[in-house]
Amino acid sequence: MTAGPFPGGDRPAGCAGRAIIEVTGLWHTYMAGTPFEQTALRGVSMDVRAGEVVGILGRTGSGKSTLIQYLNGLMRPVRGRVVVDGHDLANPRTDLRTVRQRVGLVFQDPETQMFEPLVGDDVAYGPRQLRLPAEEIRARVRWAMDAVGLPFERFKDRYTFSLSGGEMRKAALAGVLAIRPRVLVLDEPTSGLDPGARAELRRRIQDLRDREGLTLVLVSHDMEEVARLSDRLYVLQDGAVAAAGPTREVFGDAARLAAVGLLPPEPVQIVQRLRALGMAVRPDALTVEEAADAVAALLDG
Amino acid sequence: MPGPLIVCEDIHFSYAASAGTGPVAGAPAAPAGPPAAPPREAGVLRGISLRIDPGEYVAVVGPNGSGKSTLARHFNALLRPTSGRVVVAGMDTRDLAHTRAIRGTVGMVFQHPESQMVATIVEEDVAFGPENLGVPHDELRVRVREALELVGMWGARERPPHLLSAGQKQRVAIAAVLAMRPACLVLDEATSMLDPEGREAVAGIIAELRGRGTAVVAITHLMNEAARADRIVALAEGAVLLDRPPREVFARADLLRDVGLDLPAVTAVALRVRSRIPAFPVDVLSIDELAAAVVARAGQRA
Repeated sequence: MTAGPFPGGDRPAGCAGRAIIEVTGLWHTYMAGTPFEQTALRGVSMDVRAGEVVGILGRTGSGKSTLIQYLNGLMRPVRGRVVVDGHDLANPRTDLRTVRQRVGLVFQDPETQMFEPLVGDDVAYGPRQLRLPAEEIRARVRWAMDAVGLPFERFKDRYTFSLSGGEMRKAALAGVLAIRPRVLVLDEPTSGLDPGARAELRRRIQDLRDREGLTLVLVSHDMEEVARLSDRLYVLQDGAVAAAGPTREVFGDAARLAAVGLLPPEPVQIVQRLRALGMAVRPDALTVEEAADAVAALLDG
Repeated sequence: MPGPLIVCEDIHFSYAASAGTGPVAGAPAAPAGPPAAPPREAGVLRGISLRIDPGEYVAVVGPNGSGKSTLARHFNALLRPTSGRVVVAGMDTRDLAHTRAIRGTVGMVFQHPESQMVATIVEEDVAFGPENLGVPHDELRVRVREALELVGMWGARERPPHLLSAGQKQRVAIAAVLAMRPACLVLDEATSMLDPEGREAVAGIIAELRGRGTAVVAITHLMNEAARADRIVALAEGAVLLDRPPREVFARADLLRDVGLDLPAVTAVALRVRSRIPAFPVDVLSIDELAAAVVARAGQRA
C-alpha cells in the first residue's frame, strides 16, 4: 500500500468505514420555470463509505447522471444536502475544486476528451493543473499508469491515437487517478469495449479498491458488471431511490427490480427460474461461476 | 427465392492503402528516444468472403479492431474494397453509378444516433431520407407513419429529437432508415449505448422486420444479442473465424476465448456445469433451454 492514493489507504475491502459522501434529501430540476421543466432528482438520500464499492442502477432518465454530477461538486445543491469528505457543497465557502480533487469523475467514453498527443502528457494534465512539483507529477503519472495496467516506461511516449480502445479507456482513467482522488466515480466504465478488454478493465477496477484502497461509485447498465464489482446498490427510479441494500439482497428481490423495469444479471435469473420450477438450488448466486456451482451442486446432490 | 442480397468475395481493405494518408493532421514530430511500438493497424480486412440472403438476421461479432465496422461499411458502399468485390442486389459497389441505389437497398444505423439526425422535429428527421430519394408527398406521409409506428415513436413525432432519451433517439434513427424501405438494415453497435429496456425495444424491432422479410445485420459486442440471430459471423484480425448458426459458434468456447470473445452467460453457466456433470448439454442459448436441461437431468436422478 506504499504507492496508495494517500498514506495508509482507506480501510480494507469488506469493512467499509465512515461515510465519505453523504447525500440527504437532494432535489434537482432542469430548466426550472420553462415549459421543458423536468425534475431529475426527488429527495435522494444515499451515502458512500470509505473503502466500499457502491453501484448505482436505474433506467435511462432515472437520475443517475445528475446524481453523480453532485458527487464530485459539478453542481451545488439548491434543495437538499451533499457533504463530501466533510465539505458541505451548499456552503458558498466550500471550494468546489477541493471537492473535485477528492472525488474523481470518469465520464462515459472518457477517451473522447483526450487531447494530448502523448499518453504520458495526457495523464499528467490533471496534476500539472494542480501546479505540483515536476517530481511529484512524474511519480503520480507513473503510479496511475501502472495502476490501470499501462506500464509507465512502455506507454508514456506512445501516441494516444495509436492505442487500442481498451488502452485508451485505461489512459483516460489514469488521467483522473493521477489527481489522487479518494473516491472514483465511474460512469459506464466498460461500455463499448470488447469482451476481452472489458474483463481486463474490470480486474483493474477491482484492484483499485483491493490494492490501492480507493472508494468506488459505479454506474452501469451491465448488471453482471455491477454484480461482480459492487458491495452495495442504490436503484433509482424517476429520480428517487426505489431500492437500496447489499448487492445480493437487491438482486435477490426479483419482484422489486421488475417493478422498476430492471432485470437482474442472467445468472441470477437462471437461479430464480429454477427455484420457480421447484428446484432446491442455492438462492443467492450472483455470478456465472456461482450459478453454475449451484446448479452442479443440485444435480450432483 | 431471389439471389443473395449481399455477397463479399475475398475482400481486402486497409485504411492506409485506401486513403494514402500520411501522419494524422496536427500530430507532432516523432518524439526523441526509442521509437514507440508501431500503431497496430485496426480495421483491416484480409480476404473476407460471405453472403447475406434476403430476410436473414446475421450477427457480426469480434474483438475491437477485428474489422467489424469496416466490413459493415462495405455493405452500403461507404467503403470499397482494396481488392475483391462486394455485390449488393447484383450491383458491384466499385461502380459509383450504383452508389445511390445501393444506399437505398442497405441502410445503416450507428452507435451514436445524434450523428445521423438532421432535423429539429422527429417527423421531419424521418422524412429526410425518402424526401431526398424523390418520394412523392402522399407516399412520404405513409412511409413516415409506417416507420415511426414500427419503432413505437409515432406518438413522439412532433417532439424535438434532442429531448428524447438515448433509446428513443436510436429508435428514431432506425425509423429514418426504414422510411427508405431498405432490403437490409445494418446496425453498427446500435445498442451498445442503450439500457436493457432500450435494447429490448431494438430486439422487438428486429423481430418485426424479420416478419416483414427485411434482412438485418447487427454488429455487436453482446453475445446474448448475437445468440438470437440466424447466423453469427465471428471476425478476428480481419478474417472470418467462424460463420455458423449461434449454437455451433458458441460450441467453440476455446476458440472464442482465444480471440477475446466470450459466451452468453447461460452458455457459460452450462459449460461450467458440464465440467462437473459430464453429460450436461452445453448448446443452450436461453434461460428456458438451460432450465429445461436442469429439470430433465434432476428428473433422471430422482
